[in-house]
Amino acid sequence: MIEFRSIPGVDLDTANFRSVCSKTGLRTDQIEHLVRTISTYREQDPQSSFSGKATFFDDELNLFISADDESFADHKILFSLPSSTLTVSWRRQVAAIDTWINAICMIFPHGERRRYQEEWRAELCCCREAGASWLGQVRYVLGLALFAPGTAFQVRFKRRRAVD
Amino acid sequence: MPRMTEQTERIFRALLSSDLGEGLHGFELGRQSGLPSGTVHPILARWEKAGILESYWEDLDADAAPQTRPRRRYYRFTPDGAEYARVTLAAADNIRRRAAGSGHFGGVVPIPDGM
Repeated sequence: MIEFRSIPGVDLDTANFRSVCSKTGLRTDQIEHLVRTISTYREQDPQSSFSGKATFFDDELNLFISADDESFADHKILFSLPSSTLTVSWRRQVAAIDTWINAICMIFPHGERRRYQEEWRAELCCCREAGASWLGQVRYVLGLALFAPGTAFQVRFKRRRAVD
Repeated sequence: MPRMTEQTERIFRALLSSDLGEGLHGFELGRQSGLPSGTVHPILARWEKAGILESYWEDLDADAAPQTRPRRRYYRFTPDGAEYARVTLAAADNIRRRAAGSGHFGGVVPIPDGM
Protein backbone atom coordinates (compact mmCIF):
# COMPACT_ATOMS: atom_id res chain seq x y z
CA MET A 1 0.00 0.00 0.00
CA ILE A 2 1.34 3.40 -0.91
CA GLU A 3 2.02 5.73 1.95
CA PHE A 4 0.26 8.78 0.58
CA ARG A 5 0.26 10.36 3.97
CA SER A 6 3.98 10.86 3.58
CA ILE A 7 3.31 13.36 0.79
CA PRO A 8 2.91 16.84 2.23
CA GLY A 9 -0.53 18.33 1.75
CA VAL A 10 -2.24 15.10 0.73
CA ASP A 11 -5.04 13.87 2.90
CA LEU A 12 -6.09 10.53 1.51
CA ASP A 13 -9.17 8.62 2.47
CA THR A 14 -8.32 4.99 1.85
CA ALA A 15 -11.83 4.04 0.77
CA ASN A 16 -11.92 6.82 -1.82
CA PHE A 17 -8.53 5.84 -3.05
CA ARG A 18 -9.71 2.28 -3.64
CA SER A 19 -12.73 3.63 -5.47
CA VAL A 20 -10.52 5.70 -7.74
CA CYS A 21 -8.31 2.71 -8.49
CA SER A 22 -11.31 0.58 -9.26
CA LYS A 23 -13.02 3.08 -11.53
CA THR A 24 -10.03 4.14 -13.50
CA GLY A 25 -8.03 0.98 -13.73
CA LEU A 26 -4.97 3.03 -12.93
CA ARG A 27 -2.15 1.34 -11.16
CA THR A 28 -1.45 2.54 -7.67
CA ASP A 29 1.97 3.82 -8.69
CA GLN A 30 0.37 5.92 -11.44
CA ILE A 31 -2.00 7.50 -8.99
CA GLU A 32 0.86 8.13 -6.63
CA HIS A 33 2.74 9.84 -9.46
CA LEU A 34 -0.23 12.02 -10.23
CA VAL A 35 -0.80 13.04 -6.66
CA ARG A 36 2.87 13.65 -6.09
CA THR A 37 3.12 15.68 -9.29
CA ILE A 38 0.50 18.10 -8.12
CA SER A 39 1.35 18.29 -4.49
CA THR A 40 5.04 18.84 -5.12
CA TYR A 41 4.68 20.98 -8.23
CA ARG A 42 6.76 23.79 -6.83
CA GLU A 43 9.49 21.54 -5.46
CA GLN A 44 10.02 19.90 -8.82
CA ASP A 45 10.18 23.16 -10.69
CA PRO A 46 11.38 25.91 -8.38
CA GLN A 47 10.98 28.45 -11.17
CA SER A 48 7.33 27.65 -11.60
CA SER A 49 4.90 30.27 -10.50
CA PHE A 50 2.39 27.56 -9.76
CA SER A 51 1.84 25.52 -6.70
CA GLY A 52 -0.59 22.68 -6.27
CA LYS A 53 -2.49 20.53 -3.89
CA ALA A 54 -4.26 17.24 -4.51
CA THR A 55 -7.26 16.00 -2.58
CA PHE A 56 -9.74 13.19 -3.05
CA PHE A 57 -13.45 13.81 -2.98
CA ASP A 58 -15.83 10.95 -3.60
CA ASP A 59 -14.55 9.28 -6.72
CA GLU A 60 -12.79 12.33 -8.05
CA LEU A 61 -9.29 13.52 -7.59
CA ASN A 62 -9.23 17.28 -7.32
CA LEU A 63 -6.10 18.97 -8.49
CA PHE A 64 -5.75 22.47 -7.18
CA ILE A 65 -3.27 24.59 -9.03
CA SER A 66 -2.72 28.14 -7.96
CA ALA A 67 -0.80 30.82 -9.77
CA ASP A 68 1.26 33.33 -7.89
CA ASP A 69 0.19 36.86 -8.49
CA GLU A 70 3.66 38.25 -8.03
CA SER A 71 6.03 35.78 -9.65
CA PHE A 72 5.97 35.88 -13.39
CA ALA A 73 4.56 38.64 -15.46
CA ASP A 74 3.63 36.22 -18.20
CA HIS A 75 1.40 34.22 -15.94
CA LYS A 76 0.03 37.31 -14.36
CA ILE A 77 -1.15 38.44 -17.74
CA LEU A 78 -2.43 35.02 -18.65
CA PHE A 79 -4.52 34.58 -15.54
CA SER A 80 -6.87 37.34 -14.69
CA LEU A 81 -8.05 35.14 -11.86
CA PRO A 82 -5.94 35.06 -8.72
CA SER A 83 -5.95 31.28 -8.81
CA SER A 84 -7.59 28.42 -10.62
CA THR A 85 -8.78 24.99 -9.72
CA LEU A 86 -8.36 22.16 -12.14
CA THR A 87 -10.68 19.24 -11.52
CA VAL A 88 -10.06 16.19 -13.60
CA SER A 89 -12.82 13.66 -13.44
CA TRP A 90 -11.96 10.03 -13.51
CA ARG A 91 -14.87 9.46 -15.84
CA ARG A 92 -12.74 10.94 -18.61
CA GLN A 93 -10.27 8.06 -18.49
CA VAL A 94 -7.51 9.85 -16.78
CA ALA A 95 -5.12 7.03 -17.54
CA ALA A 96 -4.91 8.12 -21.15
CA ILE A 97 -3.13 11.43 -21.05
CA ASP A 98 -4.05 12.13 -24.64
CA THR A 99 -7.67 12.43 -23.62
CA TRP A 100 -6.73 15.20 -21.24
CA ILE A 101 -5.65 17.25 -24.21
CA ASN A 102 -9.03 16.86 -25.87
CA ALA A 103 -10.76 18.03 -22.72
CA ILE A 104 -8.36 20.89 -22.14
CA CYS A 105 -8.76 22.12 -25.70
CA MET A 106 -12.47 22.63 -25.16
CA ILE A 107 -11.47 25.97 -23.68
CA PHE A 108 -10.64 27.15 -27.18
CA PRO A 109 -13.16 28.49 -29.68
CA HIS A 110 -14.25 25.88 -32.17
CA GLY A 111 -12.03 27.25 -34.91
CA GLU A 112 -8.85 26.91 -32.86
CA ARG A 113 -9.67 23.70 -31.03
CA ARG A 114 -8.46 21.19 -33.59
CA ARG A 115 -5.27 23.08 -34.16
CA TYR A 116 -4.29 22.94 -30.49
CA GLN A 117 -5.44 19.36 -30.08
CA GLU A 118 -3.22 18.27 -32.94
CA GLU A 119 -0.32 20.50 -31.94
CA TRP A 120 -0.29 19.40 -28.32
CA ARG A 121 -0.75 15.73 -29.14
CA ALA A 122 2.35 15.99 -31.31
CA GLU A 123 4.19 17.62 -28.43
CA LEU A 124 3.14 14.90 -26.04
CA CYS A 125 4.57 12.51 -28.59
CA CYS A 126 7.85 14.48 -28.51
CA CYS A 127 7.76 14.29 -24.75
CA ARG A 128 7.48 10.50 -24.91
CA GLU A 129 10.17 10.22 -27.56
CA ALA A 130 12.45 12.24 -25.31
CA GLY A 131 12.02 9.53 -22.72
CA ALA A 132 9.73 11.40 -20.35
CA SER A 133 8.20 9.27 -17.64
CA TRP A 134 4.47 9.09 -17.10
CA LEU A 135 5.01 11.72 -14.48
CA GLY A 136 6.85 13.93 -16.94
CA GLN A 137 4.08 13.56 -19.49
CA VAL A 138 1.45 14.46 -16.92
CA ARG A 139 3.39 17.54 -15.96
CA TYR A 140 3.71 18.59 -19.57
CA VAL A 141 0.00 18.28 -20.23
CA LEU A 142 -0.92 19.95 -16.95
CA GLY A 143 1.21 22.85 -18.04
CA LEU A 144 -0.83 23.09 -21.21
CA ALA A 145 -3.99 23.04 -19.13
CA LEU A 146 -2.82 26.28 -17.58
CA PHE A 147 -3.01 27.98 -20.94
CA ALA A 148 -6.29 29.61 -20.09
CA PRO A 149 -8.90 29.18 -17.42
CA GLY A 150 -12.36 28.30 -18.56
CA THR A 151 -15.09 25.73 -18.42
CA ALA A 152 -14.99 22.55 -20.40
CA PHE A 153 -16.50 19.11 -20.04
CA GLN A 154 -14.80 17.36 -17.20
CA VAL A 155 -11.88 19.71 -16.94
CA ARG A 156 -13.20 22.59 -14.97
CA PHE A 157 -11.54 25.73 -13.74
CA LYS A 158 -13.19 27.47 -10.86
CA ARG A 159 -12.42 30.78 -9.38
CA ARG A 160 -11.18 30.46 -5.85
CA ARG A 161 -10.25 33.11 -3.38
CA ALA A 162 -7.09 31.32 -2.35
CA VAL A 163 -5.51 27.92 -2.27
CA ASP A 164 -4.38 26.98 1.19
CA MET B 1 2.73 44.90 -28.46
CA PRO B 2 3.00 42.34 -25.63
CA ARG B 3 5.36 43.09 -22.79
CA MET B 4 8.90 41.80 -23.08
CA THR B 5 9.70 39.53 -20.15
CA GLU B 6 12.65 37.41 -19.16
CA GLN B 7 10.74 34.31 -20.29
CA THR B 8 9.99 35.87 -23.65
CA GLU B 9 13.65 36.78 -24.05
CA ARG B 10 14.58 33.15 -23.55
CA ILE B 11 12.10 32.04 -26.20
CA PHE B 12 13.35 34.69 -28.64
CA ARG B 13 16.98 33.75 -28.07
CA ALA B 14 16.21 30.09 -28.70
CA LEU B 15 14.40 30.96 -31.92
CA LEU B 16 17.15 33.28 -33.11
CA SER B 17 19.75 30.58 -32.58
CA SER B 18 17.71 28.09 -34.58
CA ASP B 19 17.28 27.79 -38.31
CA LEU B 20 15.25 30.97 -38.85
CA GLY B 21 13.48 29.57 -41.87
CA GLU B 22 12.35 26.45 -40.08
CA GLY B 23 11.98 27.58 -36.48
CA LEU B 24 11.23 25.24 -33.60
CA HIS B 25 8.20 23.40 -32.29
CA GLY B 26 6.82 24.07 -28.84
CA PHE B 27 8.36 21.11 -27.07
CA GLU B 28 11.83 21.89 -28.41
CA LEU B 29 11.41 25.56 -27.52
CA GLY B 30 10.60 24.54 -23.97
CA ARG B 31 13.62 22.29 -23.84
CA GLN B 32 16.00 24.91 -25.19
CA SER B 33 14.64 27.76 -23.10
CA GLY B 34 14.23 25.68 -19.96
CA LEU B 35 10.63 26.84 -19.61
CA PRO B 36 7.63 24.62 -18.84
CA SER B 37 4.85 24.05 -21.36
CA GLY B 38 2.42 26.30 -19.51
CA THR B 39 4.81 29.21 -19.95
CA VAL B 40 5.96 28.55 -23.51
CA HIS B 41 2.60 28.29 -25.23
CA PRO B 42 0.95 31.41 -23.88
CA ILE B 43 4.04 33.37 -24.93
CA LEU B 44 3.94 31.87 -28.41
CA ALA B 45 0.24 32.63 -28.76
CA ARG B 46 0.65 36.26 -27.69
CA TRP B 47 3.55 37.00 -30.00
CA GLU B 48 1.95 35.19 -32.88
CA LYS B 49 -1.12 37.32 -32.45
CA ALA B 50 1.13 40.39 -32.39
CA GLY B 51 2.63 39.41 -35.75
CA ILE B 52 6.15 38.82 -34.43
CA LEU B 53 5.88 35.04 -34.74
CA GLU B 54 4.14 32.82 -37.22
CA SER B 55 3.42 29.11 -37.06
CA TYR B 56 2.96 26.39 -39.63
CA TRP B 57 2.49 22.65 -39.82
CA GLU B 58 5.47 20.60 -40.80
CA ASP B 59 5.12 18.77 -44.07
CA LEU B 60 5.41 15.06 -43.40
CA ASP B 61 6.15 13.23 -46.59
CA ALA B 62 3.72 10.34 -46.44
CA ASP B 63 5.28 8.71 -49.50
CA ALA B 64 8.79 8.67 -48.09
CA ALA B 65 7.98 6.70 -44.97
CA PRO B 66 4.97 5.49 -43.07
CA GLN B 67 3.74 8.16 -40.71
CA THR B 68 4.83 7.13 -37.25
CA ARG B 69 4.10 10.34 -35.40
CA PRO B 70 1.75 13.31 -35.69
CA ARG B 71 2.93 16.35 -37.57
CA ARG B 72 4.37 19.15 -35.48
CA ARG B 73 3.57 22.81 -35.48
CA TYR B 74 6.62 25.01 -35.88
CA TYR B 75 7.12 28.59 -34.76
CA ARG B 76 9.41 31.08 -36.42
CA PHE B 77 9.84 34.82 -36.63
CA THR B 78 8.07 36.77 -39.31
CA PRO B 79 10.53 38.84 -41.40
CA ASP B 80 9.77 41.95 -39.33
CA GLY B 81 9.64 39.88 -36.16
CA ALA B 82 13.23 38.69 -36.42
CA GLU B 83 14.45 42.27 -36.65
CA TYR B 84 12.23 43.28 -33.76
CA ALA B 85 13.64 40.46 -31.63
CA ARG B 86 17.24 41.35 -32.43
CA VAL B 87 16.75 45.02 -31.60
CA THR B 88 14.82 44.31 -28.43
CA LEU B 89 17.27 41.74 -27.14
CA ALA B 90 20.20 44.00 -27.94
CA ALA B 91 18.52 46.79 -25.98
CA ALA B 92 18.00 44.44 -23.06
CA ASP B 93 21.64 43.34 -23.17
CA ASN B 94 22.78 46.96 -23.26
CA ILE B 95 20.76 47.79 -20.21
CA ARG B 96 22.19 44.84 -18.34
CA ARG B 97 25.75 45.77 -19.31
CA ARG B 98 25.27 49.33 -18.17
CA ALA B 99 23.59 48.19 -14.97
CA ALA B 100 26.41 45.76 -14.30
CA GLY B 101 28.91 48.58 -14.82
CA SER B 102 27.16 50.81 -12.35
CA GLY B 103 26.46 47.98 -9.95
CA HIS B 104 22.75 48.56 -10.34
CA PHE B 105 20.13 46.64 -12.25
CA GLY B 106 16.84 48.28 -13.01
CA GLY B 107 15.17 45.25 -14.58
CA VAL B 108 13.00 47.21 -17.02
CA VAL B 109 13.53 46.58 -20.71
CA PRO B 110 12.14 49.34 -22.93
CA ILE B 111 10.69 48.28 -26.26
CA PRO B 112 11.96 50.37 -29.15
CA ASP B 113 9.47 52.77 -30.66
CA GLY B 114 8.01 52.01 -34.02
CA MET B 115 8.58 48.26 -33.83
